[in-house]
Amino acid sequence: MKVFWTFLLALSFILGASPAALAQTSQFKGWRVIKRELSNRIAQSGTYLNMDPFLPAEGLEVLLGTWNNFGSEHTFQNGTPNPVNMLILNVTLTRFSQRIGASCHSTQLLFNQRFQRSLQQLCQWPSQDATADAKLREFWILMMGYSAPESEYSVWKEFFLTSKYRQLPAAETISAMSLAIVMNPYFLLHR
Amino acid sequence: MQTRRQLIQSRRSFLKLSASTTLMSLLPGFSRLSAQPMDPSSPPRFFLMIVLEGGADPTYMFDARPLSMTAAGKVQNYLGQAPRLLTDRKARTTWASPLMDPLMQFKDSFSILNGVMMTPSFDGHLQNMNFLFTGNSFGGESFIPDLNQENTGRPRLALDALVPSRNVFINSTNHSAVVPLAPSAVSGLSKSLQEVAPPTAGDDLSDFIRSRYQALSGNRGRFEKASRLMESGILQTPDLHRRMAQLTPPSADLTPIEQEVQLIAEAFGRGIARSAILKLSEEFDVHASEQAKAQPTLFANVGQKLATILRLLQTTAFDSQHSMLDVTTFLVTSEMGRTLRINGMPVDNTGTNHNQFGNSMLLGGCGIRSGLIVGASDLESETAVASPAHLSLDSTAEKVFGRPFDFVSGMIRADLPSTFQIQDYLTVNSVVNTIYSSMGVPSKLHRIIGRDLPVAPVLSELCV
Repeated sequence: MKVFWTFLLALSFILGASPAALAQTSQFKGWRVIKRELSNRIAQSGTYLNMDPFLPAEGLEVLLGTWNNFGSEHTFQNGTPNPVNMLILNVTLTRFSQRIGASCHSTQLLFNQRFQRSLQQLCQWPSQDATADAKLREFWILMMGYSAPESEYSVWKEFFLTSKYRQLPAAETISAMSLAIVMNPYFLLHR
Repeated sequence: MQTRRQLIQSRRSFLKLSASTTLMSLLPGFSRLSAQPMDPSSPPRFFLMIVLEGGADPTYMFDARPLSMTAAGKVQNYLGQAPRLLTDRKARTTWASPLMDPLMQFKDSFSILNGVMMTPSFDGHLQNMNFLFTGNSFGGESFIPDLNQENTGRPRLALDALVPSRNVFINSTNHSAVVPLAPSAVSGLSKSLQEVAPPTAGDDLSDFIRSRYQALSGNRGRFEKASRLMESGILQTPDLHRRMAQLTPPSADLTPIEQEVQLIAEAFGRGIARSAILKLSEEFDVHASEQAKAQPTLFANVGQKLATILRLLQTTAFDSQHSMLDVTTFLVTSEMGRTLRINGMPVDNTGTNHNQFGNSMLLGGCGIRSGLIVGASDLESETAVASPAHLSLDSTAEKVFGRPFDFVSGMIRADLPSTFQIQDYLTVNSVVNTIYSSMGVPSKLHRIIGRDLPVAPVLSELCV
């Protein structure tokens, strides 16, 4: 009998806790972290990518997740995905990705040598050489870091090798490749 | 027939009841089933909250005190002018500071709520601001998003609220669809949105990106839930993108408050946001006597600004049949009131401290009966005495206290309670529930008076 009531009590705790647990959600890393991570991965050593001009308007970075201090309270605000921050992310990162694609034609941003080399190889797209797994993987890892599992890379690669992008010019494809990486939940969310 | 007690005493019945309750609560959409939606053909409704941050002194607004109290050393009054007596149709009265004269042209658009209790346990800004927004002194869910749920009978708009100011306090933006957007940012935003195509269905890349959100949202973890929210967000993005691209930047010739109201009207008119939170730029926390002495200027500005806001709402068309004021419910409030004086200091050279026991608010606009004076604070004259309940929480009678309130008649009670019980008073939770009721928020979401107490009564005489 005691076991039964203990079980019932435990069950009620588990069921009672579920809604609260379900209510929790990962948050966006925030604009400062996005800039820092991308700068560490692809910018020239010791420099920061100047990404603020890609924002639709000054001050909107706070809507992508930011720390707010009020007295002794420190809270992370606007980090839950919603239509507005998705809209701002889409516009901002589309403009950023377009600049990466445009780098095939002229210098747009100050990249580090490794990323510059990777980009130049992909700029041969859609040649057979540019579609090699090693080239695509290098580009993926440089932008995504090691945040995403191998399966996510495979899906990304498959899409660009089998969709209309297989035949499109390099600048357009690299822009799309970049956007597909930086809009991925593994890139944007705290885990 | 078994009574509820008998049911619970039967183990089998208890288990059945528990299981069915648990299953029902886990069913998706259960909450919607119990909601009572409004008529979908009802006109649009919006909510504007105007916040006077810092603890605004009601004696310079609509809960003033006669000059005789100042002469008796009971209350500071740096204006030095006699207040005006206002009387409503039920012969309820209050004193209004002459500084609120600019608002009197709109007296048929709002009702006055006096003696409103905030959180009785704390007198801090943060705790009372939290309590105002969430009903909890230490945070929680703001009431603003509840006004934008489909269970109100209206479609959910992309934003729960727009905050047309960058200088916002923590509680107004504690929900991710409550979005600060300064008028100065609108120009760049709408221009940028016009330059970049929204992610539309049928576009290969947009479909691929969205497919990743869908694929990664399969389980019940936090990451998966966020992926689901990203998918939901990106699905709404094209519509929001088009609407926000059409936002007209407020003219630089307008005053800041006019720009903010214009942006709010745009956000409502274009179906972008259900609510707006507008914080006046003035600082109302006047502990030092020098600060308190500046209150006549401070509240003269408040009177002018509130009149400007109401005038703009009244003269801005929502559609061919309605003005913005016709479709907007508004609340003017601070997180708390202020003390009459600081004990030990002369009333002609004193500042004021926080008072959570007697706040003053204006509630008006769409769905609200106007011209009423609901509730009152005590210590209304130099001879008035504080109740034992009041003195138990404020032994020096430095703060005004809400008068005991009869929720059935809507009148204040004449008795002087011996012990403090929060249910004897008009509280901010009743004000929020009145807004809830007016805007169709299901009663199961209404705030309770306090722990182990019933739901705070709706002020039904205020609801049209």
